[in-house]
Amino acid sequence: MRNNLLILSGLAALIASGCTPTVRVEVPDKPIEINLNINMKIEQNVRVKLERELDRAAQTNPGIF
Amino acid sequence: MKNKIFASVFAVSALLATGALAVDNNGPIDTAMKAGTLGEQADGYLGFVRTPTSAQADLQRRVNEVNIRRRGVYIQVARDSGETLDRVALLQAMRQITKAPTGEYFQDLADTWCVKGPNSDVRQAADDTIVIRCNVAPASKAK
Repeated sequence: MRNNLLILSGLAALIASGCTPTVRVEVPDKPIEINLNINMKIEQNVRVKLERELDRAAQTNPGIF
Repeated sequence: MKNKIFASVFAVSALLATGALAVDNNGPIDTAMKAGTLGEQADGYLGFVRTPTSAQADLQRRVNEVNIRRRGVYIQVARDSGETLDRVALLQAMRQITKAPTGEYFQDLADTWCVKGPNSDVRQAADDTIVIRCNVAPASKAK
């Protein structure tokens, strides 16, 4: 009788462990990087040119940048 | 004489440096930026961090005014350079957020408002990669 109880509880434990949900949410170790698509390409030479024009625009338009 | 020139050059560059941080020269917009009411969006325009209340109607008008003038500048620069409006505005957004002082709000590329801090990552990583991120863990920032 006592043995039966032991076996039963053992079985219950086994069943319970067998039912442990296996779906786990894993936290990514890397931060999510959001890259712009290729249409947003800004080459270095273009960037230099744009920055120069933006600097000039900022000087002639004080109070907005 | 030489020292005088150096001093004036220094004074002018200091003026330019401080002037670059202020939008309206410590007026209502700068005050609201410092208070965390306004911030730089990732699209090159100013925005309210929280939906403006009716009491902020005046501030909203000023923000709209600045944004309309900014748009005018972006259109002009885009036209002069043959670039797209989006690219010009994005580049300026990155520049504005880069120069924003610690503690002020900005929007990352997912349009989430966050506070500028030592772990904020704002840069052009490659020709086609612009990074505007709120917080980067120091370990991953290093690599």
